[in-house]
Amino acid sequence: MTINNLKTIIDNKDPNTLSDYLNLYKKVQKELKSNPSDKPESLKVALLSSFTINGLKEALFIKLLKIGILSDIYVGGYNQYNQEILNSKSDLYSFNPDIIFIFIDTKTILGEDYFLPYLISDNERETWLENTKNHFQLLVNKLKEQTTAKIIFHNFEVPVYSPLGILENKQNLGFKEAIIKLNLNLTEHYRSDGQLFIYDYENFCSNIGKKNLVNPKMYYMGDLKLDLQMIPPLAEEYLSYIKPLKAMTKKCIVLDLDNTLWGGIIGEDSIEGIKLGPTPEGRAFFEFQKYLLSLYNRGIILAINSKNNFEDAINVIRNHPNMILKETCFASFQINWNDKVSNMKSIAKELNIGLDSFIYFDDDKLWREIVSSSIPEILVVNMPEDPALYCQALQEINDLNTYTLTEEDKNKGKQYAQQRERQVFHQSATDLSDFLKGLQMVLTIEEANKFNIPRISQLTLKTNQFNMTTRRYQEEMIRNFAQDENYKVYAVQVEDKFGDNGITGVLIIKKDNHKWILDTFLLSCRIIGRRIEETILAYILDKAKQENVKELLGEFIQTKKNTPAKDFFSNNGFTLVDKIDQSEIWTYDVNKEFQYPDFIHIKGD
Amino acid sequence: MKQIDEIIARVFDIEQDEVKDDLSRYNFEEWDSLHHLLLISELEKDLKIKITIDEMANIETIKQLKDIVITKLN
Repeated sequence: MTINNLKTIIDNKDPNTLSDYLNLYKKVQKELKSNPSDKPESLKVALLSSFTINGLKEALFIKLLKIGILSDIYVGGYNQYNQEILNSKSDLYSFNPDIIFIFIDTKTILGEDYFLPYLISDNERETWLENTKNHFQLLVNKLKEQTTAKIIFHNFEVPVYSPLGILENKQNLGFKEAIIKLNLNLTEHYRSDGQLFIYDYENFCSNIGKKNLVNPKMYYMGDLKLDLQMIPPLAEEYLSYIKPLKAMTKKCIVLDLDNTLWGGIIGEDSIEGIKLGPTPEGRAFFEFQKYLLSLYNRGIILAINSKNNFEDAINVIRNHPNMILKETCFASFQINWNDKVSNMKSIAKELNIGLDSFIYFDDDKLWREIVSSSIPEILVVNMPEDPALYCQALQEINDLNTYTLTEEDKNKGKQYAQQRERQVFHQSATDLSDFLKGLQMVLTIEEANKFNIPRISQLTLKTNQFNMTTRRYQEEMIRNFAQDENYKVYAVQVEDKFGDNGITGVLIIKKDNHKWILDTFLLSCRIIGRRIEETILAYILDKAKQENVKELLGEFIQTKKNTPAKDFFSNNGFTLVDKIDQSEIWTYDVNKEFQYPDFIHIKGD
Repeated sequence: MKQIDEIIARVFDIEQDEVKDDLSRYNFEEWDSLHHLLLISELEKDLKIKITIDEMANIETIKQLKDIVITKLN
């Protein structure tokens, strides 16, 4: 049985209540029993909690299967999280999870103090806060010693009630305040931790409404600290952490125009007639655009796919006074009368990113269905009929998360849009060298430092095409190289007249007396083919000469994807000295002249 | 009435025609304490009614359950 067969069991189902999830889970498990999966589970999730969360496992399993992940979910024993974490031989560790969710509730950590909060003094409450904090830190430290899994730790629901009423915040440390402080402290303590993420459960509670969070009779009768029907929404929240773990993060939002970015139809209503701006009818679209702009500013790429006359539509984008998203925000315009499926494919081709990186917004239900059935990899948002709910639909998308966000990531939206301008410029240039000269490129080459190390590591992890050796290095490794005097690590930043591409190249050199070895040489695919590769090589040869190095050795390890790098050494005067399987060693005599391309300016030390 | 049967069938994962008045917490294995909670929870959610803790504690058969729900719906 394949995962796709399994998915068909649930594909047409739209589970709503917790029962729906439990029943689907039973069905899938029954199917798996008689017909086991042809592949092992691709994700192991551990759920640890201070109380029994009925149905969380089942809801999460079904939600994961819906996005194509067959999971194995471990549920820790009732309130056993302390023992499971502290005992290095526990079932938790032998399960070997990829990700661990820890859900400890406020009532449990407060015990009787929850009900009699002012039985203890302010001072005792201070002590409680300190002890609780320390206890969690101890647990987390132990956990981190034992596992490399991502750890998602719930913060705590702030109680809505204090017996002191309006005097609650006239204490030295109020009852509710103690929980607020605990939450702040957790956030503060793990702010720069790459393994542990604090899940803002308090925010989840507020968003749902604390009155709806617990059904009092269910709490008394069944000790349910969370209403059964709130379990599926909680499982949905967990997906925000799982999707980036499985590299399922979306990069680009593709938008329709009429009745999506503005109200009305431009072809009929004209630029004066469409609804867009701070008016009762135009505001939903106005604010939808503002929210999209904020996503663009954090690095989400935007593109347009619309059936319209190009001139009509671009006129609105360029000239409508209330258009928040400017022409420069978009990386691709497919505004024409072609079908939207081929337009979508053109956008993917133009931006050189996979179709599975797209989110599609269109008010037209029919087009949504056609796009979604023709290109199932695309996330087609089920847009509400009422434009007043557009923003909410956008905010509910949990597919845009990543575990780290570098400066380059934040600028991605802008950089892809500048790339579009470069292409227009390229088409107007008479030949390649004319185009390259016109770009007015400036390279900044600097050694690794604490600001660029995360980006250097990210590039080694992500770059596939122009990558000589495809060696993947975590941040820790780059930091070690940077401190090792036998290594040199360089980051290359590329700017041109259309904007800053950010750090898009990496060089790691291993020094061996009179020889330097290119351990890593890579450029992001966005900037290859602009003779930047040769400029960097010239720079390195200069450096080598200054340090009396005689020979520069280049390694090339062939992969399925690095064809663009294949001929680099032979095209630049290197001589092949050795070849074993997919691995080649090339050499260059440092004293041999090497010509810099004269149209690239270098800033370096 | 039909909607009540639908919800009960869904909670116990049985067919609607299997929902009989004389099913009780003593003769129907599926009706454990979790399913009791789930049953009340889904009836309240779908039918927008509120059942009290006493009623919830006293319901033992499908007949009793339906009587309470129908009174609330009227």
